Amino acid sequence: MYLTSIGVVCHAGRGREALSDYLRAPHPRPGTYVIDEIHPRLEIPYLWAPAEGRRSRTETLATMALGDALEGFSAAERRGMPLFLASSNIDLLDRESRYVRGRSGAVAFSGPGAGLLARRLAGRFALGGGEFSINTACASGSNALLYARAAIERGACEHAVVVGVESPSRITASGLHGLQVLTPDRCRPFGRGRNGMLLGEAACAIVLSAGGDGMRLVGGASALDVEAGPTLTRAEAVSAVMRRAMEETRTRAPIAIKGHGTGTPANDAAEVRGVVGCVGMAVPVTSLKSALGHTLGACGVLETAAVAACWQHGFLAPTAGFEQADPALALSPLEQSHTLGPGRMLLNFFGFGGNNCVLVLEKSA
Amino acid sequence: MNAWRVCAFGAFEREAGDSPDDLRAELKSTLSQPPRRVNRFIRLALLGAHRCIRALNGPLPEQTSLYVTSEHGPVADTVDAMEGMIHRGLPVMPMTFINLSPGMAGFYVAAMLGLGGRSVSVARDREGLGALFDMAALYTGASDVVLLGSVAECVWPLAEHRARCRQPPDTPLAEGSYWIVADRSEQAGPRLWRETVGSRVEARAWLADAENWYVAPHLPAAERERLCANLDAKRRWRPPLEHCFHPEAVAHAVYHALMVRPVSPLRVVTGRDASGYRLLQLA
Repeated sequence: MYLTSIGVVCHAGRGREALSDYLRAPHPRPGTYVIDEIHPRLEIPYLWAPAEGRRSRTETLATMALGDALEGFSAAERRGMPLFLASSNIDLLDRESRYVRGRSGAVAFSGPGAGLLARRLAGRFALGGGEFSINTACASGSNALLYARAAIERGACEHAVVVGVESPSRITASGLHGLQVLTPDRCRPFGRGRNGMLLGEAACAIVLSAGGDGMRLVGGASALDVEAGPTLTRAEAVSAVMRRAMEETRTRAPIAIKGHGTGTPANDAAEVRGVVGCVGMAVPVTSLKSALGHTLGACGVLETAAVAACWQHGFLAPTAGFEQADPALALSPLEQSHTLGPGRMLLNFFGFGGNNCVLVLEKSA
Repeated sequence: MNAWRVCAFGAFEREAGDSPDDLRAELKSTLSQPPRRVNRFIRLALLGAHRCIRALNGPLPEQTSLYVTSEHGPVADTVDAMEGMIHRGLPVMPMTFINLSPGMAGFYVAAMLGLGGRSVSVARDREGLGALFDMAALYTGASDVVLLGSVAECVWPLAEHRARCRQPPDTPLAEGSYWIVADRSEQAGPRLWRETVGSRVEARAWLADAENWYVAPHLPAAERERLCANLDAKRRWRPPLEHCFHPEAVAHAVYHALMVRPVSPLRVVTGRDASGYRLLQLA
């Protein structure tokens, strides 16, 4: 299925050209996310997206991205289009904001149930193909893309739109801080001295279509790993899901890999072992999370759009923040943007709860 | 049309009492190695899924796809985390945060059953069960078997939870988890059909022909009235916990229709969105 349209708002700016321009030589400028309610108050570096509006940030960002992606699609096309919404904790962000502002009354977590944002977005843009809110933690966006692809492949629709959205949540930031997986300064995926992930804000919408002539989502694989516990990535599971994605799409030799690359010591090490175990050490690997932030449930959509936007201009983005190779890892990521011709790429995404997902993206000659 | 054979089903459900039941003890007596450091929401999911699988003759295929929905998610821990942070200045504890992820119930159910296919948490505003079948129609995986679960959790004190759910004081509340193993086989067994119709007239006509009918209580009251007007009241399906507010009321109704031997044919309007009225038929 073809990536026929992309709308994006993230640290790089708004629109696919802003995304590819920024990623050619990314210089992230983290701001700060402050949680005043916790004692002592928590301040973490954060990559903000440019967004202002009367609605919640989540809804504002999602509306911007979706509106941009749907430009050019007729009312009839939208009527048949399903919406797949990916986020790390669907509707929690809105509920948390309303509670903090005192708008949800005396009790926390008040109001209607999950999936409300997807319904509002589908209503606003007159999308009539049904809506799905998908959560597989940081693999939410990539899984949503696989389901959107399946909907088209099964003939349920001609086009499907996938939205990944993430904006800061006190609960999420505090929880990740408690797990000691957030960097206090900057993110160095796959590098020596890496000390955690840098969170980011984004909304990204991709329209997949049965017909087209650009970048193609060939398919992929998604699998659950229950061996290592709910928060750890296992090298064997990484290799297995990559291998399965290659088998299911008949991909023999990927020309590059977009790693999940969060910048945490253990998970980066497991991913490298998994990648090397599957495709060896010769395939160029990069991570986009130090440049765009870890956008959690949205990263599958955002990073797929980012790879497509850069690849359209013939390059693969470097890993921002990488300085020194880690002698304990068998490979190092790209330090400079890398010229990339036609072929197939693997895009890795791993999430809490043992969710491992690999997408296969293709650019034709 | 989206059609499924029900291979097995099971549930763990109860009307909420004045204080929460000890699910930790219940799980300990049910599983030889119950997972540690999980929350009530996950325990509810495990207890229901365990009963469902007990009804199967043998284990599920390892590549079974697992889809879980919940209208409110792990609400007790979410409330605890929010109130602790906002009112008492407390950070969110790591395990609390991990267990807040909606997919974690699926992880522990899969671990209990030794599954390694997909596990996806899916939501649709007031129509979670329907979303499960719609997702399963898009991907079943190599085994062609799916395990579908709906989970609802109460929070004590119940007076607060009623306010949270926008229910009048003294409304009884229910919680539990409902599970179905389904496949695409032509073999004998109860069958579920899922489809969408565009107009209320079509939905009403479909209900009027039903042996038993049920309209999701989550639909707006005026919409329910219009759908139910002049339908045969004697054929209205009344599941046991109908007097309760139940976020997973449709799953509850389907489960009890399956419990009747032979299965009680049931037609349900599960919801409505821009694509039309969502229907589910059990026979």
